[in-house]
Amino acid sequence: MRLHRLEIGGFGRLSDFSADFDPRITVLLGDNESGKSTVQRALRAALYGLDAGGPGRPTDRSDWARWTPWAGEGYSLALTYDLGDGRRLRVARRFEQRDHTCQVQEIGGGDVTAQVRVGRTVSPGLVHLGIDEDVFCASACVGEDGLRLGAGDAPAARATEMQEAIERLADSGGGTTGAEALAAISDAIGRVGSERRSGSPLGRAVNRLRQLEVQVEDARRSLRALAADEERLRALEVTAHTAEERRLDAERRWLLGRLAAIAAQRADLESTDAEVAQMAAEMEGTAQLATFPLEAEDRVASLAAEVLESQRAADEARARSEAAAPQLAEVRRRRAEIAAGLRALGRGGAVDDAAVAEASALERRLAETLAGRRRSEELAAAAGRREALRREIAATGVAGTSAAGVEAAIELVDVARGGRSSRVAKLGATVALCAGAVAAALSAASRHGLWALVAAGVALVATLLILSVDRLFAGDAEHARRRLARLCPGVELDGEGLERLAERLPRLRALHAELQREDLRVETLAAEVETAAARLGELAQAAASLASHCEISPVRSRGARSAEETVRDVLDAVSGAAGIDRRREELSAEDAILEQREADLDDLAGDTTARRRAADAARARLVRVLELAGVPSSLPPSEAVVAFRAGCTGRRRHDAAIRRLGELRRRSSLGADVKSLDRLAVELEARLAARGGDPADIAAAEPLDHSRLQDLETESEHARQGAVAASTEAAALRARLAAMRATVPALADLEDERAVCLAARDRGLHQLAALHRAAELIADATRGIHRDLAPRLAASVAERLALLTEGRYAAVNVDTSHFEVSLLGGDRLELVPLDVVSHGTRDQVSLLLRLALAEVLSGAGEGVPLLLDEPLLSADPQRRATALRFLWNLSATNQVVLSTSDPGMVDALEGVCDGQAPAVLTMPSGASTIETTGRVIAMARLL
Amino acid sequence: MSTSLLHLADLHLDRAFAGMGCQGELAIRRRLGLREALKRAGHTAQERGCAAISIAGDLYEHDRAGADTAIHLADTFASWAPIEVLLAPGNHDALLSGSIYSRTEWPANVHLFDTAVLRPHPLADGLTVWGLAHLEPAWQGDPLACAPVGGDGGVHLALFHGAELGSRPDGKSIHGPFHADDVRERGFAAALCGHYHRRRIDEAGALVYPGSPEPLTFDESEPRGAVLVDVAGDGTISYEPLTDNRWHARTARADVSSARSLADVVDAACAAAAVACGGLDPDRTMLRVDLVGEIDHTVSTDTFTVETSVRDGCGAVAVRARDLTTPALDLASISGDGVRSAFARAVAEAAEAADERQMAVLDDALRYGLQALGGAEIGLR
Repeated sequence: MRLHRLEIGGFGRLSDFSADFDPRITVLLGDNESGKSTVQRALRAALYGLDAGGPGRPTDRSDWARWTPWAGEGYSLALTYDLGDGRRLRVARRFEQRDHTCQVQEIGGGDVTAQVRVGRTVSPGLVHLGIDEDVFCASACVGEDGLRLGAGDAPAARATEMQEAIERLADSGGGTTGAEALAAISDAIGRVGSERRSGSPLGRAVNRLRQLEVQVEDARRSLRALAADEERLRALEVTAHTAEERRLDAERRWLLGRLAAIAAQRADLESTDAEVAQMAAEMEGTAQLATFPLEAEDRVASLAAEVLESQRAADEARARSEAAAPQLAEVRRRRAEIAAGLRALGRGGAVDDAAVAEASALERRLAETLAGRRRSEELAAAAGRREALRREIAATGVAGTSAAGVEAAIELVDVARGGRSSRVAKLGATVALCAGAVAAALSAASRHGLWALVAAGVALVATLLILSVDRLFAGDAEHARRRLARLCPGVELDGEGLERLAERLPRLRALHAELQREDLRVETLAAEVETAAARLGELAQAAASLASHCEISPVRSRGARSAEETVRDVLDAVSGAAGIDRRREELSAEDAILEQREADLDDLAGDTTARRRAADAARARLVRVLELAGVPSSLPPSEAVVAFRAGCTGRRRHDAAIRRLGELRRRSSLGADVKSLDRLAVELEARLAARGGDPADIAAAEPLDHSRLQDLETESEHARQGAVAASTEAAALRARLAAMRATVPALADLEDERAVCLAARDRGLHQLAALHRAAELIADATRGIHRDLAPRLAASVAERLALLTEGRYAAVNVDTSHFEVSLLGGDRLELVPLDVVSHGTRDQVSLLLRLALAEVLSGAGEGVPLLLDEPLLSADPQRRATALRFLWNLSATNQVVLSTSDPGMVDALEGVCDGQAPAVLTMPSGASTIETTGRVIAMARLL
Repeated sequence: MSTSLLHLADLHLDRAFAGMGCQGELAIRRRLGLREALKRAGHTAQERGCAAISIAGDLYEHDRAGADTAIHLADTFASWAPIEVLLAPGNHDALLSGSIYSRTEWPANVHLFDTAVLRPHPLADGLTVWGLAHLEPAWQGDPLACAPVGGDGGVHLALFHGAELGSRPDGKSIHGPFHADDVRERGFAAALCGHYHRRRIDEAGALVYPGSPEPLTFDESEPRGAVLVDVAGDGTISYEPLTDNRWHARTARADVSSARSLADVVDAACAAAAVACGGLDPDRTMLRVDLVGEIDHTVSTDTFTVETSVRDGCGAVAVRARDLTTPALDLASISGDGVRSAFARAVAEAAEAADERQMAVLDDALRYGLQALGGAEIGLR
C-alpha cells in the first residue's frame, strides 16, 4: 500500500488541510504542536475509522471526541492510496455525527464501500492491509524514540520489552498476550480459591460444608433420639393411663363393694330393731317361767328315762317269766328222761380213742385185704382166656410151630415162595428165544444174513442169562422148604401150602403173643390172691388183740369162723362199745344244758320281782322332783314330764330372748346408726361418680368383706404406684424432651445452609474447572501461535536484515516461547542475543520485527506503510544516519511517513538517499499555508 | 343434606428452601408460612362448615421433620375438632416406624389411614372416604388396585397420594402410579389426591389435585390453596378451588442481548423483575430472574450483582438469578493468527466431542478465556 493524498476538512487542529505523499519517504517537518502527529492520526483514522465510544467507553473520552476539529466544523477527511495491484482508492469519512459515515471509491471505478465493510464498520485498512488497527498501530506506528519496540534505559530491559511487544503483537495484535491472559485467569482462579485454602471462597464453602455435614448428622442423630424418646414417652403415658384406669377400676369396685356392704349393714340394722321388739315381746311372754328350774331338766329327763326304762324292764321280766313257765316244765320233764336213759346205759367200756383209731386202721387194712382176695375171680377169668387162646392156636393148623419158630417160618415162607420166579424166567427165556428166531428168520428172508445171525445170538444170550438167574434163586427156595418142614411139621409145602402158611403164620404169631401175656397175668393174679390170704390172718390176730385191749367179747357166730369174720366181729364190737359211750356223753351234755336252762328259768321269776320294785322307786323319785317344779303330781309320769319340758322350753326361750336382746342392744350400741350410714353412702356414691362409676350398679354389687376390700385397696395402691412411677418417668422424659427440642437445631435450616454451601462449592469447582480449561486452551493456543510465528518472523527479519545490513547478519532466530531474538553475524559462529548487539542493530531488528509481524499477521501481500513520529529523537548523529539509511532502504518495500521537528533530520536523510531528494512537508506554526521543499507541497490552515 | 370436605395435600412442612435461594431467616419464614397455611386451611374449613379435612400425603418431610412438628400438628388438628382430619401419608411422610405419624398420640378427631390398600372410613351417612398410606418412601403400588366399591347406594371417595400417569409433569417422580380411568371403574365418585404440586380439578375424570398450598419452587405459580369438595345429598360432587396463598413465586425473563455492560444486564433484569412482581407483596415474593439472549462475551453477567440489584430494585424478599445467556460469538468468524482465534478454535474443537457437563465447562471456559485475552477482568459466573 502506498499513501497518495490526505485531505482533511477538519480533524483536530487541522482544517482544510491536504498533503501528498512520496511513494518512499515523506518527512513531516514542523515544530511541536504543528500538527505532525495529527496528520499521522488522520491517516490511521482514514484507514480504520474513529472509535466513538460504547459500552464501558465513554463517548466524551473517545477518539472521536478527542479529534473533533478545533474549529468545530468540517469534521471530515479523505485519503487516497494505491494498492499493489495498481488500483487507487479514495476513502472519504465524515465525523460530524457519532455514527460517522464513510465512503470508499475506487478511482476510475465505483463505490467499493461494501467491499471494505467489516461488520458495522468500514475498515479499508483491515481489508487491504490484512491487519486490524491494533496490529497496525503496534507494527507500523512508531512513536518518539520508538524504532525500538520498547523504550528503556538498560539494553536488557529494552530487549525484554521488545520481546513482550512481539509477543503481544503475535498473540493479539498488540492487545493482551497469552501470558497476560493466563495471569488474569490465574488471578481469577485465586479469587475462586481452592478447597484447601480456608481463606478462599471455595475453601470457606468446603469447610463450612464439612461443618454442616457434621451438624446435620448430629441433628439427625438428635432427632432420631428425640423420636425414640417420644415413642418411649408415649409408651409411658399409655402405661400410666392403663395403671390409672386399673386404679380407678379397683376403687370403683371397692366403692361398689363398700356401698353394697353399707346397704347390707343398713338392712341388718333395720332387722335388728325389729328383732329387738320381737325379743322384748318374747321375754315378756315368758316372764312367768323366769324361775323355772331349768337346772333340773337333766335330772328329770334322766329320772323319766329311768322310770320308763325300769317300767319297761319290769314288764319285760314279767312277760319273760310268764313265757318261761311251760319251758321250765318241759325242761324238767326232759331231764327226767335223760336220767332214766343214763341209768339204762350203765357204765361205759374201755374203748378209748386209741382203740377207736386202731379199729379204724384195722378196718382199712381189712378192706385192702379183701380187695386182694377179690383177685381170685380175675385169676379164674384169665385162666379161661388162656385156655381159649390155646384152642385157637391149635385151630390154626400150625400148632406145632412154636412161638419162637413162627418168625423164622415167616421168613422161610417168603424165601420158599420165591420158586414162582422160575416159571416166569422160563417164560421169559422162551419169549426171548422165539423173538430171536423170528428176527433171524425175517433177516434171512430179507437177505440180511448178518443181521439174522446177530439177532439169533442176542436172543440166545438173553435166554441163557435168564435161565442162569432162575437157577440161582431156585436153590434158596428149596433150602427154605426143608427148614419149614422142620419148623412146621405136617404142613404141605407146595405152592398153595406155602400160600396158606403165609396167611396163617402172622395170625399164629399174634396168638402166641397174646397167650404169653395171659400167662403172665395169671401168674401175677395167683400171687396176689395168695398174699391176701396171708394178710387176712394177720388181721384176725390184730383184731383179737384189740378186743382184748377193749375188754370186749365179740359175738361169735356159729360154726367155724373165718379170719375175715373174726376181724369183722371185733370191729363191730369196738364200734358198738364206742357208740354207747358216745350216747352216754350226749345225754350227760344235754342234761347239763337243761339243768342250766332250768336254773335260768327259775331266775326269771326273781328278776321280775326285783325290777318291779326298782320301777316303783324311780317313779317315786320323779314325782318328788316334779313336785318341786310345780308340776301336779296327779299327772301321769309321762304327761308330767311333758309339762316339765314345756316349762323348760319356755324358760329357755325367755333366757334366749334376754340374751338376744342384750346382744342386739350391744350391737346397736357398737354399730353406726342409719343416719350415719346414709351419710357415708352418699359420700361414697359421690366418690364413685367421681371415678366414673354408676351408683345404679350398687344394687347388683356384692358386699365385700374386709379382706376383699383390703385386696382392692392393695390393687388400687399398686396401680396408683405404677401410674405415679410411669407419670414421674414420663414427666422427667417430657422435661428432657422439652430441653432436647429447645436444643436440637432445625434440620431444615442446616440443610438450607448446607445446600447453599454445596451450591457454592459446586459453583466454585465449576469455575475452577472452566478457568483451568480456559488456561489450558490458551496455553496451548499460545504455544501453537508462537511455534508458528517464530520461524516466519525469523525468516522475514533475516531476509530484510541481510539486505539492509549488506550481509552483516546471516541469520536470525526467534525463540518460540517468548520471542527472544538472537542474531548470527557473518563474522561469528554462534547466535548472539539481541541485547548484546549495538543499539542501531537492535533498532533495525525491532523495526523489521514490526514489519514482519504485520506481514505475517496480515497475509494480504500489501506493504504496510510506516508512520514514524520522531523516531530518532534521542539518537546521536551516527546512529540517526544509520537509521535513516536503513529507513531509506526499507522504503523500497514499505512507504515511510516520518515526522520530525528537527530540520537536521531532513539533511541527514538527504545524505543517505542516494542523491534522491526526499519529500518534505513543512508545517510551520501559525501559518495557514504549508510550504514544502522538494516535490510535495501541501496547503494547511492552522488555527 | 350435603357434606363438605376441605381437601389439601403436599404441604411439605419443614421443607428446605435452599433451592429457592432461601436460607437463614427467610427459610424459617417460609417454613412458618407453611404452618400458617395449614392453620388457614383449618379456619377455612371451620368457616365453611366442613365435616372433614382430608390431607393426601406429603404433609411434612420425614427427613427434615423438626423436633416440634409432631406437637404442632397434634395441637393444630385438635383445635379443629370436631372436624375430622383424614390423613393419608405420602412418599415424603411415609408411615414408617418412628415417624411422626407412628409416634404421635393424635387427637380423637384424627383418622390416620395406615394400610397400603384402600380402607373405608365412614364420614357421614352414605358418604365413605377410602384412604391408604405409603408405608415406604419408594412405594410403587397402584392405589386403585382394589376391588370395586359401592353398590350400597352411598358415595365413595378415594383419598391417597399418587401419580396419575396421564398428567405427570416432566421429571416428576412416580409414587403410587394410577390411571384416572380407574377412579370411576373402581366405583369412586372422586379421587382426592396429592403428589402433583400444580392444582388440577378434573370433574370429568373425578380427579382432584389441590397442589401445594404455597409455592415450593419458582415454577409453582398461582392460584394455590385447598379445594372445597361438596357432596350433595343426591351424590353429586362439586369443587370449589380456594386461593389463599400468602407467598408468591415468579420467574422473570430478562433479555440481555443488547447489554454492553453489567449495568445494562442489571437494568434489564430489574425491568423484567418489576413487571413480574407488579402488584405483589414484595415481602412474600420470591423471584427468579432468568438472563437470556446472546451477550457479548466481554460483558459480565455476575449473577450475585444481578440478584443484589434486583432485590434492591423490586424489593422481592428472595431473588435468584440464572445466567442462561449464550456468548455472542461466532467461532467461525474469529479469524487470524492470534491466540484469541486459536483459543476459540480450540474451544470449538473440544466442544465437538464434549458431553453436557463438559460443554458447560467449555462454555464458561470460552467466556473466561476471551475475557482474559481481551484484557478485561474475568467475571465469574
